[in-house]
Amino acid sequence: MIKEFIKYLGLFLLLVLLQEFIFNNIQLSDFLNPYVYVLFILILPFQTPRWILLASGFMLGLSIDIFSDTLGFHAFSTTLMAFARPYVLNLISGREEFDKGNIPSMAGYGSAWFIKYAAALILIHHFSLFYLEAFSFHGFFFTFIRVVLSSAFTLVFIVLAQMLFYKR
Amino acid sequence: MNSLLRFLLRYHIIFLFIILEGISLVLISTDSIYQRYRVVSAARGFSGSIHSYFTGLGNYFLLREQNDILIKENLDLRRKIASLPCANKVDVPYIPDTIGHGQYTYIGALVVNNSINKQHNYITLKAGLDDGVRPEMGVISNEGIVGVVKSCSPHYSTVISLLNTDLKISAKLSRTGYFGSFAWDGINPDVIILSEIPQHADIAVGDSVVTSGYSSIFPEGILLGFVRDFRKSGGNFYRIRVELSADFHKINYVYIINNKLAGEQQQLESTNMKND
Repeated sequence: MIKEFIKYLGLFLLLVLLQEFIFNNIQLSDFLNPYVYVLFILILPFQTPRWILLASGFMLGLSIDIFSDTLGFHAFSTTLMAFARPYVLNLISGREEFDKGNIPSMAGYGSAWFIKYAAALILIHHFSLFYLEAFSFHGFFFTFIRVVLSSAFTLVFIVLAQMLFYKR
Repeated sequence: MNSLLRFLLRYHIIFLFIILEGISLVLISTDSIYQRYRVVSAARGFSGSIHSYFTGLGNYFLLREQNDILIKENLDLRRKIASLPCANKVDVPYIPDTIGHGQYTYIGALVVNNSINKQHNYITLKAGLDDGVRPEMGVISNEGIVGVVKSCSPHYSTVISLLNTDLKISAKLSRTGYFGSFAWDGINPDVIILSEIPQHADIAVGDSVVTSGYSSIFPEGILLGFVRDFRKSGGNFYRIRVELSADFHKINYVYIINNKLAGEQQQLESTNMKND
């Protein structure tokens, strides 16, 4: 249990630093900014209590906010994403039971399942973040394009990470 | 009481969710609380030092380009000196400056972090309180305006980029002198919107847009960009799209403007407001 905790704490710090110093500096075009740090919420174990899910989502967003001077924006979106996770899992897996102590991964549940799961949550996160940032529906389609492109970009990075670290 | 407790327990996840989202929204809407300043400033010291390491690495490869920019700026300055009346003529009377040596002084700074692809873009500079930088100072590059200093730590400061939908500055058309408000609409990082120009104003594509000097942040007449196109918008105003003169994709060195009289002007203006 303690071992798990330390592992996830390390992952938390690593993702925040990677986001701040690498992914925030990838500026292929004016439309793209991948937010790969959401990977943390995606791969918490299935049986994580929901309050831990919410609290860690909030802390994750707040840490990103503190670095990028956007206090509140990321915290809002990550909390929403953490809140939605159990519903998304139910929706795409129906009554299928997950093994206790297992984590959502591409190796364990297949790439189609994982991409569906990750894409849904990434879209929820990016949607709320980008529209909150724009704070209006003025330029609705412009923001929409940014959401879709950035989500796709984030998804690519997350799938790559899965292929690298969860090989069997 | 018992049933209330049961109710809370049953829906505790929803409550926790609402509370956390509430905190986020409060954080978003309150822009300047002291705690926020302390926390963000501590993080800035840390992230600033790492960013400046990477930037140092990257700048090494941009040296040639930087050289060209500096040569061009030197040339511009030489031309300006040559065109100054006192450079050739000596009949201009000497007027002692009783306020100090000039109203504006400049501080040079290296850009260590910059983004253009968000709605609220910020720039981090490697110059802070110890270098004399203070919040509310203007930041320019040799090509035009960059932004306004938002907050500082001892060695770093954060600048609200001109590409931030929250920043509005006062600008005017240099040919005709009509002034309006200049703010980004969050869409194209090369184009900024100049609004509140009355419809009887005479505008032409290519007109240059400069700072008005009405705020205490920027001196008058710094180039912002050129009119790309304009159309009538609701009311009696034009909505003018201005092509930025500064290229925000590659900003490396900037100058921070210190207006010695800013405090005096703001104080006077705020007392006038109170009297109204």
